[in-house]
Amino acid sequence: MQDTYPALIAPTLVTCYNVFLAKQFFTSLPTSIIESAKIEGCSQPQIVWKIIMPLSKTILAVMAIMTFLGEWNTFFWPFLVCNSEMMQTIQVGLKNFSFANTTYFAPMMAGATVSALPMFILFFSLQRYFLEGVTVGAVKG
Amino acid sequence: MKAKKMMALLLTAAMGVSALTGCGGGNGKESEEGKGADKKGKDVVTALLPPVSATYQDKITEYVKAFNKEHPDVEIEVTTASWEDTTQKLDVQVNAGSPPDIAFIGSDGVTKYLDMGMAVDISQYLSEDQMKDFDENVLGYFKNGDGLYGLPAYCEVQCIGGNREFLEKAGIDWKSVQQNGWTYDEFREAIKKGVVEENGATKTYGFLFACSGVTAKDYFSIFVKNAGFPSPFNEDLKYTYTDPKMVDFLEDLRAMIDDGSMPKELGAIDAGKRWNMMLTGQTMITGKGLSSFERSAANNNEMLKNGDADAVEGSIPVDYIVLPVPVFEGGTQNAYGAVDGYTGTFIYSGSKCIADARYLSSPDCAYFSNLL
Repeated sequence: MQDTYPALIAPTLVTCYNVFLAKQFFTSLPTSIIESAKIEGCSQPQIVWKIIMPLSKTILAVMAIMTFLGEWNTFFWPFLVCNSEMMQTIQVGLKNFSFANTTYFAPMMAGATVSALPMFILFFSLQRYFLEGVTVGAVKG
Repeated sequence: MKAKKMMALLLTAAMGVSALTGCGGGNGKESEEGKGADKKGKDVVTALLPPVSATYQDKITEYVKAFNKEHPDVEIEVTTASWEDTTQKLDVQVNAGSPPDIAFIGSDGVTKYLDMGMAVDISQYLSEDQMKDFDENVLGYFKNGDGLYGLPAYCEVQCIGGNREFLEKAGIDWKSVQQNGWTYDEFREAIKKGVVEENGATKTYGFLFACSGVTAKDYFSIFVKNAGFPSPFNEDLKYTYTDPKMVDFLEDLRAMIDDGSMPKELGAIDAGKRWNMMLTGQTMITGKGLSSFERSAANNNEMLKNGDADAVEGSIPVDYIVLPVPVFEGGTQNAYGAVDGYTGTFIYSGSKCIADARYLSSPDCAYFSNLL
């Protein structure tokens, strides 16, 4: 799977941290809602997709933001699995401005600035979810 | 409960897949024709080549095209990895069982991969004439016993280098130093004179060595040669670095950092920053020095002269002067030779690699061993 998109994406599809975060959130959902859905005739998949998921938008947004931020900035894994220049992530590519005895600081810094932009945009546009979400699994009951 | 079980099962499956994403040596092109061949029946040769210089990747592309004109049945897959991290990538690939066929390494790395059983003696694939293309001594860096485990790309005698204008301002007779060498004490006096203070801050340091990244070890290895330790082992194969003189040497090295001749942030200065500080006039002398720096400085001077935007930001014209490494007490002048070997050079054992090694014997493989 080297040098493929699945190699970059699959390792972060499910992480222990996100599973724990989601689990904490799900246990905070009132069981009475699920029981009501069952009484109304919902099947198990329907309960998941029509009841639990809509109530979990906040935690899903938080997981999406945090996963994106983490993976956007990560270096080592993409460095290992990407062999061609075409597949290199921006963080890996930026290091290619560093040569044996010299470094092109100007393009490297320009690239670093550009690479920060998506994070700024994502964070500020979803700031509400982010601030709400980081504490969402902290208090139970 | 069923919903929870279903989700747990899906999550477990996804995590299982995640754990396997980096596995396997395949690149998606080896399945049908067997390892080493793509779907079109071409032999695939993989090469891990870090960007040695700014123009390196472009050169590689040209060489691969030229090679493919003569050998259309061979596909060369070039993998790039940053200079600082290429060894780490190679080690991971080797340990994962999917090493490249060719890799760029320093000659000092040969024994490591040889011990791992991953290096192949390529002398059997080279003709006498091809071997004669290389200087015997330089080629020797890639020999181990009777085997040859690489071909050199370049050879450098490592030294230090200075800014001519700054040296002369500090009253250093650099021509005499070039001809007669200098002692550690003379060197320390010189670099103290090179320090320029402005508004309470150091504007120019006397000396600067890259002490971060892969070149950091050179701070020790280059100087230690001139401190009475030309080799870690003596003629009786006894380890020499446990000699009490070593402590004095290490204290001398440290003293250059502590006395203000070098920046205190030395541990954060890598090879690139070191050269940047040289070109921007922030240091009088840099280490290590290579002959290619003279050309690099001249290129930057030319760009400054022409108002080229590619010139290093804030740089000044620098007349780069090559200087010998100072001699420490009890030592003699010794040259530290660095041979980074190309790798057209470094062939790994494996079903396809042995077969592909024959391409090294073609005249075109000179492309891969004369890139610089």
